[in-house]
Amino acid sequence: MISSYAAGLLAEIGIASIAALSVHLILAVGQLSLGNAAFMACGAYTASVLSVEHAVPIPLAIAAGAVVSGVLGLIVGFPALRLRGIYLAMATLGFGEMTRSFFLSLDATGGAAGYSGMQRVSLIGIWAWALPLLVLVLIAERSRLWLALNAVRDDETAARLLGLNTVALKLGAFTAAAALAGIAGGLFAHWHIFIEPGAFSLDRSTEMVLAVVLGGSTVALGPFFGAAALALAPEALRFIADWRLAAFGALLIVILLLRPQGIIDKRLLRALKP
Amino acid sequence: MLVVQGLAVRYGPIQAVRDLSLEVRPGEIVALIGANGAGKTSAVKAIAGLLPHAGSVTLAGKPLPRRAEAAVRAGLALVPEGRGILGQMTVAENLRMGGYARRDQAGLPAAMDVQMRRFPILGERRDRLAGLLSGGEQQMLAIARALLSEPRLLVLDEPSLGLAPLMSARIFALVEELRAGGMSILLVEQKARQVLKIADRAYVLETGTLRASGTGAELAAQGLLSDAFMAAGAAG
Repeated sequence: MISSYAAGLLAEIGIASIAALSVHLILAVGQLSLGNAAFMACGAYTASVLSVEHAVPIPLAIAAGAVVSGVLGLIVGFPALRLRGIYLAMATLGFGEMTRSFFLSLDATGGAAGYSGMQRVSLIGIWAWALPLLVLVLIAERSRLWLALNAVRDDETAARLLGLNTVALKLGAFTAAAALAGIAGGLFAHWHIFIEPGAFSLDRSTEMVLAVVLGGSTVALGPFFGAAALALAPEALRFIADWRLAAFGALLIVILLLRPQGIIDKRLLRALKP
Repeated sequence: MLVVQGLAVRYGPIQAVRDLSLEVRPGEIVALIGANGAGKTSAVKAIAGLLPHAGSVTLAGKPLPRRAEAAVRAGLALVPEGRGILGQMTVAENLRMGGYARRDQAGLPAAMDVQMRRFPILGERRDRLAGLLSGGEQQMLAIARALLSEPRLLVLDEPSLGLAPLMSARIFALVEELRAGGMSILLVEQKARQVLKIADRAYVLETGTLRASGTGAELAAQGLLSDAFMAAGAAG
């Protein structure tokens, strides 16, 4: 048996890893989203309402949340097609804040007071989602489809000249990423058994991006590692009490200066291969 | 092979290309020449489906789709100005992407081997990031990648741009070699004299309008290949 403290950390890592993978998917086509917490919120509220109000089994409720988030991602993806870089980041940030405000005003899900009544999902239940999803993304990274996504990231015009449907690829990446964030949201809701709009603010979106930047954005293991590092580092620094968050920030800066490509990249993985 | 009639391209109020008609017959090298700003790149981008345009473009008797990704599948491969290399991907990954649109996916590894035999340097550097290759090597990669889509018509936009004279000569020799293999080629160039040594025919563009067409000798006789003319075109 592990302690509830360790279980809590492992659960946070599992959920944050899935959320970071959603950012990783969008980055694969060269897009940066600062609004993935909104997709997480949709997944969380959809899964919660289904499991609490309609007694839908938790895995099914989470899957339904992923579908709703995915459809929302598709809808948001269309206007996002016309934007790149910082402009897309700002637009998705706006979408994130809009979604948070929506749930803040939605009485049916408790508004600012939040929503509760969910049954807790087990730690194993969380990792039963997280591990297969990681393996799925790792397998996808070896596919022709992933190469096509990266081609769009490198040069969209060149990608079109190679016969790639860049619109479909970008929309597909946005939809899949939103669905992943929706799963993370459903798991978050059923682990904490309470959700409120503040849990899905810009801070959450920033954490997702930070996990990818810190862990590395070229392989799926990067976001996974980054999410774990973000959860564990502040805990490991507890011995310096009030200074731990400042020390954590300094540590992040040092790591990114030393490894601007993130801690894990393809070269490192090749070097570690026996 | 390629028949373009009445092609017109606009950028808002600016007419970049007007009423351009040209033809590339099977197995021909046809050059599209003109000064900087004459509309050559706009014309080939429109033909390849990268720019909206008026007029008709047919390839092997069928209308060419107006979207670039569909035009590739119809048999047109454009190596764009600047080469369009996927710099964060390896040479092998670039080549693999070159075959993305081909029907015969099972034959792609063998076709990649053919290209790596044609350009041994690409074979030697297959695992290197394409962005780290020299300009000449990138041009070879861009051409090899375009050939992997099994095109009926290869369009090269300024393939010698930024290359040393020796490398330019190698690229032009390669273009001749491709024609010898039966490939039809539309070659956009500013280096008129150099390109007319290998082209069967040429079209001269001046500020978006077709000024003349014919063989190199015919164009030279009209005084259309002089440095003064090319410079005047650039100023216009």
